[in-house]
Amino acid sequence: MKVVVLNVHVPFVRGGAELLAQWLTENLEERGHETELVRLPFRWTPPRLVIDHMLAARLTRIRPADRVIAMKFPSYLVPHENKVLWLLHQFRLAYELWATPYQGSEHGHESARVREAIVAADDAYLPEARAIYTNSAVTSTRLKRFNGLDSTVLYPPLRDPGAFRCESFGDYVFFPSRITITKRQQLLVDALARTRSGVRAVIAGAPDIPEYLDPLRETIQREGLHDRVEILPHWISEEQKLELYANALAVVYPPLDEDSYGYVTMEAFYAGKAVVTCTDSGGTHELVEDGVTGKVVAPQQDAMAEALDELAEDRSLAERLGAGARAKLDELDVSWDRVVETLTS
Amino acid sequence: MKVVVATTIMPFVKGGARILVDGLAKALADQGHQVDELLLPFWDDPEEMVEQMLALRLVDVSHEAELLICLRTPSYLLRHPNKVVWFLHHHRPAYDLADSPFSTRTRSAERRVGKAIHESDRLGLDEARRVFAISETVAERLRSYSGLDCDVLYPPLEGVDDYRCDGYGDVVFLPSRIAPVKRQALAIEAMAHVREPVRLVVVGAPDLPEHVEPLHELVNRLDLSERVELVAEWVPEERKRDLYAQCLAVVFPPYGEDGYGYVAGEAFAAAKPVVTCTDSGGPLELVEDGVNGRVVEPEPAAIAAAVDDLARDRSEAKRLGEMGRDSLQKLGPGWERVVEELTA
Amino acid sequence: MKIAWFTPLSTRSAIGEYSLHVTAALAERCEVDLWVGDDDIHRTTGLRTFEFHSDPSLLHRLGQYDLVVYNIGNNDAFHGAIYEASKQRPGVVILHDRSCHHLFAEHWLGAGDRHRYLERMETLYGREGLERAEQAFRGERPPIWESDEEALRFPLVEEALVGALGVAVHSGDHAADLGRWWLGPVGSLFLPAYRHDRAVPAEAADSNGRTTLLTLGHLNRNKQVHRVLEILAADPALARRVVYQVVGPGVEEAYGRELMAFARENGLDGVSLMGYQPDDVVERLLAEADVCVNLRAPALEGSSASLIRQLEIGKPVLAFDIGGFHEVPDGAIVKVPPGDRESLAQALHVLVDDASLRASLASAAAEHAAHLTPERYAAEFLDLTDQVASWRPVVQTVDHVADELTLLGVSPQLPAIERIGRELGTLVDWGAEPGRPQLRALGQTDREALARFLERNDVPAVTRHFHPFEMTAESADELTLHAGEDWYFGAFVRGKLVGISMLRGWNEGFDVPSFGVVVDSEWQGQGIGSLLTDFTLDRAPWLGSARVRLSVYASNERAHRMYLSRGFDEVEREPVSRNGDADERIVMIKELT
Repeated sequence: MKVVVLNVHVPFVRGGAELLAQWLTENLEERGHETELVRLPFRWTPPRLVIDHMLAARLTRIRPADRVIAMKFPSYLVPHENKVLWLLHQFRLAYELWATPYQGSEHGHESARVREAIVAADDAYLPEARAIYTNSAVTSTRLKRFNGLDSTVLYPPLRDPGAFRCESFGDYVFFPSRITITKRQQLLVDALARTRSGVRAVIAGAPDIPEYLDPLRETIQREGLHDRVEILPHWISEEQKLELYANALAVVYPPLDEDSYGYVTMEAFYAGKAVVTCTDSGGTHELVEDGVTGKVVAPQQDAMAEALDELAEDRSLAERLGAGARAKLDELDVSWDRVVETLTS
Repeated sequence: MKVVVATTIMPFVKGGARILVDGLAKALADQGHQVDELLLPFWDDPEEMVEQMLALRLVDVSHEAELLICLRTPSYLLRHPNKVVWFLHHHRPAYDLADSPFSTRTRSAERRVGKAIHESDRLGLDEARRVFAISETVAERLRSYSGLDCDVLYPPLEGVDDYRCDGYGDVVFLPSRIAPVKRQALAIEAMAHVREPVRLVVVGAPDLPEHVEPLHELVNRLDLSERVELVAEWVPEERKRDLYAQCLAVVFPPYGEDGYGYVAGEAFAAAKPVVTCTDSGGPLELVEDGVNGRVVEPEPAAIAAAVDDLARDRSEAKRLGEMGRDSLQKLGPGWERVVEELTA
Repeated sequence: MKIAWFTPLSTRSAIGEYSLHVTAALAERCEVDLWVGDDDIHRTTGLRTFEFHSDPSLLHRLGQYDLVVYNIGNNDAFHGAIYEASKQRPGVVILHDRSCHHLFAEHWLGAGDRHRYLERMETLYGREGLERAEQAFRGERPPIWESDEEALRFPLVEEALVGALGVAVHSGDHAADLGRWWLGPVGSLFLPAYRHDRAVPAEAADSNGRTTLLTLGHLNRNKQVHRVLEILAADPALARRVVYQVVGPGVEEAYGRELMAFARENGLDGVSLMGYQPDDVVERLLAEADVCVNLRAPALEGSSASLIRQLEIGKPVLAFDIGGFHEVPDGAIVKVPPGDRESLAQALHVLVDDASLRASLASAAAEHAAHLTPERYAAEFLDLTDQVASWRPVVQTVDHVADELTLLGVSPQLPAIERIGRELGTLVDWGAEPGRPQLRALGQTDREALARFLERNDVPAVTRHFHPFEMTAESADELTLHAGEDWYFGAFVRGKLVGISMLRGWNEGFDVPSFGVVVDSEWQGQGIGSLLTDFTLDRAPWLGSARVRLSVYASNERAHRMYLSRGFDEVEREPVSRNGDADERIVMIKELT
């Protein structure tokens, strides 16, 4: 059938969600569906623009298409009689991030009105979909809690799991991800200053805005960590990434209340490496179990430093947890066959 | 600089706009610009056009990009302080096709929205810092419908060197999207008058599935199934190039085409003559009767006569075809220059 | 907050006087500048003035104000320029009259623009409006503005509100009328009383034992003087006991002449139509009158300034039960149904006969007027501006969409317009559940609203349970401008701040933040406290705390119960003495996992 995968487009920004939409499109094509990836522009500051873009989504027409698979706000508001949602998350600034430091600097009537509009739109239009799938239990729970809607978890597979490999357990921990406040690269850098083992860190990923690098660099400067922390502030090649995974001691991924387990977690598991995450990291707990497939620590520098030292000083622990991670993957059946069949049924 | 190239598209239809966007994006990147593409779905049912036009006005793409280049109508409704339009064509049903047999919708529906289409076109184009047209034909329409004077910037033909000539066989080739305005039916009807042992191969994806059946019926009614092959789907590049390479000539008789027609350009790249019609529009900027092809009345008999002429005199076909290849120079400079103009 | 207050300032404009008093009160909380809409002799003010009427280029400076206010009444000389200014820059319109027909007729026709007048009459009132206007021009019927009823039927108020982000009027009645067709915040305030000189005793100077009735104001049918004369003519006994003074310009006009003839024909020698009298004479007559007859029908004003004057000096008033009069408490004035002759006659009798009734009315009137202070008006006006601020994004979005549709040349008749309107309506929620509280973090823009919230809740009922800081404007500054690492949240209903909660202590270096919540004294018992508590506790983990503490008095049973149900555990009880009573201060802690 003719399937349109609907996602959101912020010019010049590419991240996890964009990749997933692309992979979905490829996998749909491979299985014989005529597929088109449509990306609608979105901008959310100043807050009032969110309403403009929501309205634009409501006024957009996707024809001809037998099925529309929508993945992100506000593109999931586009009307279509045969729409299915595969939600990564809703617009978080209106929900769990509302009135927290992560909402941004705009606290006033305008953002409050916009938030109301977002909730009104979600309440009115999410039920339009024939079926709602989410990428994790966390997202489903939130959807139920905030909007009273039921949904089914459909885990997103990696594009090419077989490419990941384990070569050695080196002297660095690896943290690949977009650099932004909620991913908490700062926590790793701060923790490194408190370690005793001399363990190193490699941080790789494009910053959402260049300014996000400043506090990290300041800390490195202040704590004299130049030799121990390497930051690659841009999208790295597949090759480089596989290499860094292959030889890492462990992978560090401590985002704040993530919606799903995170690609990083899954990639690390495929590379047979333990993942160090935090108690408040949300979805990563769906995969990371303390002492089995990784370490779960409190979101504090000392706790993180302790975990890093433990792994650095006992390589066999790192290996054991890494093996546990690999074994976990066999347990879960996360595949593109399953995804495509579900979303086109 | 950071450039966004935007166009409207119809999902699943790989039309000229997309080819142009890809070519332009690549050319911009080659020149060191950071490029992002915006392909916005647009369904041109008059009942739903107003909402979609408003949607285009509401989205904000100005934030990141220093330059916005808009192609297909009505993507130029997007707002941006530095907007450049490379105008492909109007929404023809609201203009010259409004009362023609090619109008695919009811006339009253189109007319009600017609005023909004005209005014919004003017709005989007007035806001642009510069407007270019893809051909003289289009420039002329912009002049008469929208009161705008603009320069012509021909889309460079892609992969000219990939086309080859393997001789002049016994097939005439019509590769084009299947739509009434492309007049595949006319070419098929012509075959009923062709006396020489020549076959017609029609290749192309239909805009709408319902446009294919009538062509099949036509072939059957005229009892041409031996002489006409209808491949109503997109074929891979390689196959297309083979057909270009082996054909006697290319028959391309659209009504009032906007651009010079990639088809005509590709035919010339393969050194094949082009048979087109006096009312075909854009291709006439490339094809000259008796110089690099044939320009005839849009009548089956006239087309048939031209095809017969070429079939009987293959050396003439070769002469015209090779002149055609030379005349590709008329398309002007390549992508480098296009990028220069658009980013100036 | 910086306010630009557009008003006439002419000594001949009652609205000018009103503006002086209201802005003086506003100036105690904000910075207020007066933008003067007329070039008459002006009243004196201590505030800065801008004579934009003579120098329109001054209007460029409006960008520096947080709020612009336009006072609009039914008079072109005083309000025409203000109306023009409002079109350039949206603001809050204070609408003083229920019809603006006279204003616009003069504004357009006075400038020779008949076309505009007709075009507006047609656009707003259809064929009927256009025809009626044309009949007047053809001389077939009198001009619309000469009839109160017709002026109300074709009010042209829509035009007065083109630049309005919100509207303030001075009676609930007027607000309800407006709310029927105007989308946006409407504030129902009141006309303030600003003179409280009860210089004259309740008993008036004698008039030969007769009771003195007084009617003030420009003499026209709206004042319904003929009704009183008819009753007096039919009841000679009553007429002999009454002196009826009718004071105000216009006695030589048609209505005045009509009245004089009637009085003469019926031998009503107690009736005197005194015509125009200078201010000091008017004041004296007012002070000496026994009863103010203030019958107005139909209600043309939002509320009556003359009524306020009569109330504040403590006079018995006889009025029709409509408009602003309707809202005055029953014991403070005598209200009769308009058009009910029996009731009016009865009321006149009672007022003339019963001196003690007059005395009690007088003191009730003065007491009522004592509440109508400019300070209270200013506070309520600022509440309205909160609502306007809250609506602003909606208004902006809708305007933006409307503008784009116009640019696109979309005709309003296309079915797409309705569909788009529906989609927009779902998103911006025109007010389906107007009472639902909105919860959010407090920011700098909330400083003014928070100051008012704290000040009005500086009452024992609130402060006996809540006192982490002084309930003053200074505290508001601290909480919004210098919050630092502490967090403050607010619950808003229709833009009004009705409760706040907080997590504080980080600023002082504490690891465990203290939770606090306080709800407006007029909004208690509606669940706002619980909403704020849950909201705040939800956010606490995101703000970096592993636990939260609070303290509550044992006597505050409801709060104590609520905290227990939210998972707080008691960790400490300390006996305290409060105002002589024994109580306990309980410290509670909640772990956040």
